[in-house]
Amino acid sequence: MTHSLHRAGTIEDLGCDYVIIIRAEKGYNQEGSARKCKELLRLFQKHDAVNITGARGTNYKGNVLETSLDSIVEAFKDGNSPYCVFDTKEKLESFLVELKEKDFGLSVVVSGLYDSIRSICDKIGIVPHTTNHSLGVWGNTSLLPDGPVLEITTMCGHGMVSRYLVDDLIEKIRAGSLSIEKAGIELGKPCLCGLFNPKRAEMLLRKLTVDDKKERVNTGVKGWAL
Amino acid sequence: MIDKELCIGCGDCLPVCPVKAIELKTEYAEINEEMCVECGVCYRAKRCPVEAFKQAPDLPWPRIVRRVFSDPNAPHSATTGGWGRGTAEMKSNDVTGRYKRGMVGIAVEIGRPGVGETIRNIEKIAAPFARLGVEFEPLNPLTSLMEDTKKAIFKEDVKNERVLSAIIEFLIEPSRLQEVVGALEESSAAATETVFSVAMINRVNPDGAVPNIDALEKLGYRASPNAKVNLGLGRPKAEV
Repeated sequence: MTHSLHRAGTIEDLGCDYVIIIRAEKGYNQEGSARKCKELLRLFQKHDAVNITGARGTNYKGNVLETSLDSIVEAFKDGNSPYCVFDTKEKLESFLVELKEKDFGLSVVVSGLYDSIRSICDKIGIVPHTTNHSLGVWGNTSLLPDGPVLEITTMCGHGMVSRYLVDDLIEKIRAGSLSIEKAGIELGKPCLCGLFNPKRAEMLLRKLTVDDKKERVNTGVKGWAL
Repeated sequence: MIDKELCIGCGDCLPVCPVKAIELKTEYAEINEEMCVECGVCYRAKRCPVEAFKQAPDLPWPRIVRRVFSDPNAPHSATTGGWGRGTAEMKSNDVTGRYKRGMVGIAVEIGRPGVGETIRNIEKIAAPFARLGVEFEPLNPLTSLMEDTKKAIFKEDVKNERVLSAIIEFLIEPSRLQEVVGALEESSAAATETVFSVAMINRVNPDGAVPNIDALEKLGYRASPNAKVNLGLGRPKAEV
């Protein structure tokens, strides 16, 4: 499914948010893929990913915001998919350079600003195969929260991060009982796939708790239509 | 479910629910069963100081529909056997070749972001696409709940179930993009109690250009600046 697509945000905010999904497909290249995936999980860590996980069902151990990478790696089986998030374009590039060299033969999907991904691909000699572009949110968009809150909640494509939890943690930050850094991690814990970017969440929480409300960004998510 | 005997009514659990289905009564918290989508977030959050949250290992049909479309850690055991709310779509297109040049993939995720919807209302939102005569992806778990896949009519026993989101997937020829945009506008008007997120999947041209983006702009719409990109590093390579 499209759990890494539809992340709301301005160009500036999305510039620090790149998701990697590795997929081994049943009937094609899944058999024996666990060994490669375990190596990939370590590679995510080497390139300083800000969130990592992937396994599901009984193999699920949580994301690295709540458990160790070792336990995630140990539980990995054929058919599980490694996921991670990088918070800079530079980290994404260094990861892709090594990924290309190692040539795992698995499907690799990068989600983020298309122009940035494309420029890295051009630089390191990769021609993208298929794209999936969001055409935005339709229907009764008045049901959605304000921009920065929506930017935070849409970092979990499965909708596990509650807008009400964001509000609750903002209250705690304002009351001085919770740091912005800890709130960013707390918000990422419900995201089973580990696609939530806690560093970007910190930045958005700063906007919500420090900046004047008038400076709130307009994500534009309600109006991809011209 | 919440064990009323254990619950101390502190209300700490209320914010974790993405659909606001936990309500605080005078002495304890209670789950609104109609609003609950069985996503399991409240159970996994471990916020409850007295561990009053319990999760039933199995849910009866049709209640289980809520869980398999809302909890990413629950497989569609009773239908497709897969995980999630749709299919692998373009994630492995470099090896499966599902999206070929000259075709456009459309994915309409109803209820996303974070609002949810009943299958009864999903039927109303799906109807304009059925009228285009598209074939709904047979491996998609939402399609498996349809009684009539030509008309997007869902089985009666699942219509009252509420899910966090579910995806309609189909392929079209690029010449039909205008018709699809018309159907999206029609569905948007029908989505009075929810939202839906739309995605367009394209096989990249040999020169690296993404087709159909310009055609979409000529129709008055544009794609988001962020996208999912399959890098084409999988093997064996599909002939597409």
